[in-house]
Amino acid sequence: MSMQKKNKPASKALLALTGSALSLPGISGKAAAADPVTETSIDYQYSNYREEDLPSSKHAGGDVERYEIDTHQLRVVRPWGDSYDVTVDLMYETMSGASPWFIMPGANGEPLQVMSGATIEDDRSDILAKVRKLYDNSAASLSLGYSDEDDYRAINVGIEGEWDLGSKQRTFTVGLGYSDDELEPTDGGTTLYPNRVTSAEKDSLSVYAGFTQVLNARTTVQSTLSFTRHDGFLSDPYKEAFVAGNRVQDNRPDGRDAIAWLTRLRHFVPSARGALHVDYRYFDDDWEIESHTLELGWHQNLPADWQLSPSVRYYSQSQAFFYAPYYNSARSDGFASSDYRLSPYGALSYRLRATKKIGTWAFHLGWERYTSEADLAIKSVRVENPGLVEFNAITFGISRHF
Amino acid sequence: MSRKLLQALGLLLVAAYMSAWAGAASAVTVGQVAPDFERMPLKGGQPVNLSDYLGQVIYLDFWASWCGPCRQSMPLMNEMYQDLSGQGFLVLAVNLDAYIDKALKFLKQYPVSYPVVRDIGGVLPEIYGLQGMPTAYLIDRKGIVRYVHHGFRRGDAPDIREAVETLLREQRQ
Amino acid sequence: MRLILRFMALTSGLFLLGSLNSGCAVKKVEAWERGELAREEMAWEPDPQEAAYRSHVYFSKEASSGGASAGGGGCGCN
Repeated sequence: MSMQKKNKPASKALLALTGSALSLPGISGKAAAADPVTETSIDYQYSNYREEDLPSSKHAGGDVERYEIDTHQLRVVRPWGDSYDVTVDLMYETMSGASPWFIMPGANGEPLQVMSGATIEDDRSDILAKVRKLYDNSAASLSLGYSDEDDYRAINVGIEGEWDLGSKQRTFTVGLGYSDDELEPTDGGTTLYPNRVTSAEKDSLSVYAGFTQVLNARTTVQSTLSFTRHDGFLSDPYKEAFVAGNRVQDNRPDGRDAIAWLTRLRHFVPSARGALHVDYRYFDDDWEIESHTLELGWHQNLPADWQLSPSVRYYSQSQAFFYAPYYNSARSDGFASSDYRLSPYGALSYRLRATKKIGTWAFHLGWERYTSEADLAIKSVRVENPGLVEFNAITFGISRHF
Repeated sequence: MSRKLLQALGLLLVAAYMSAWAGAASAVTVGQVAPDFERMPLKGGQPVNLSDYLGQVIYLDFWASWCGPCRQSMPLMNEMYQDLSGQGFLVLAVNLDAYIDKALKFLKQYPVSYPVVRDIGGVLPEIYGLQGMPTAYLIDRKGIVRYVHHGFRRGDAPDIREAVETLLREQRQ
Repeated sequence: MRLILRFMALTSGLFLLGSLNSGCAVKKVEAWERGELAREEMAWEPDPQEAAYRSHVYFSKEASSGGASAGGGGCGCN
């Protein structure tokens, strides 16, 4: 893998910045029961993520080998004093590979993906610290995070409060998060990329609230609603779009409002010694992207402290109003993006995880296979984006509690 | 828009208030006689009665293997028991696990030298009116409940010890 | 604006759902009956670290966000 920074494709940072919406900074949308942390635990996880090569039928230039990412995570949770607990999450990842650059029409007008020229190596470090204070029937937490990459830096802060609304049958949670991101794209404003922005900023504010309800001794349900507002530079400076025969910079609105509604269920079946997980998320934003995510999981307890958990995830999204694989003429609002992550498609992924406990140690091994296609979407799609991704991810983890 | 926000907040407050209103009174409170009972020890043997120990200061501790704070409370109470048993202090633990093997596994990891009995079907917790897990009732030499301890946090041991030592100094009659 | 109104409507609906008390098929679970609920596999995230990683991957590869995210720096993810 060469280190030709000249042709550096979108770094992780930017791809996230642009195609994907921001994760709620520093907050978990989950309403945890205000149970005290009674012991210290340390968890390490290694993950290898690898995307399938771009099929030659969809390929028009650049490298076909897509992303491979190695991730190392470390998590420490420990009680602190009488009524506090502290959690620190560290993440370090290295990535290499080519990524989608722009789409051009082929001989028959079909969209073909041009990938970035050279594969590069980039790395990212992330730290998140959270302090939680427990009261008699409630808890409050504060979190701070920092993320760093070659061309990108982000700071986020979050606060969350949870209240027991009566004998721990029902809990109410509310949270607020803010993130401030700065990017300095590689080769911005150079002779090779004169229109690439040299530095940009964006920020996000999100608020969420939810209820957790114990239905009976074996069933709990939770529903959380969140609202997020993004502001600033939301385009991908490493991507371009084909407009009336010319390549132009990826250009998206400088604001984005989104809501997400997550409802989940946990149900234990004593006769089977297993637990059923059902998660459904509805997402809608003012870029006209609407999505549905449904996840079903089963956690099977086996003899000798083994556990096997298969799960399946279905995802479907509609397209952003300004998206097109390529444009025959420029839009009047000037927006342009052919990023597959703003295109209409559906995705299906299968996962399997095995866990083994030995005394105070625990080990886990997991595998996931993810495929995305226009055909999998709920509503019919006329033109599939050639850059849709397929990946395999393996995770391995070790934990110890003291 | 702000009116809608106020409406939503209003609904939320009503919901929260209505939910919080469902509270149950504790069946056994400070000043009452601790209800007597007979239960089998967890590891088998002769049945144990609470009244067997009348005259001692008893820490009646309701616990289960799945209760996180119990991993802290039981070793600490075991220490306290070993220190003060000579003066007439006893810890009587009542296990509430639905599956006995889990309780036994817990005791292998956190062994205690005081008696542990088992309650099946949630009968005793109902009689005593348990509000949370763990809950412990400190009973004086006359069999009266003098202190109810809810939950368990690291810093609780000294406070409990102080209460125990005060009760130990009291005469039986 | 349409989105904010929809958010408010959904919020009110959610709170209404939350205000259902014994009218719903909810059975009171006593403190000592919570053994099954305390199981690790009954947690919202039995493995928060793995959940954070997965969220991170999905956020980077899809257009949606939100849900059970355990924080994470602004998306340096891709």
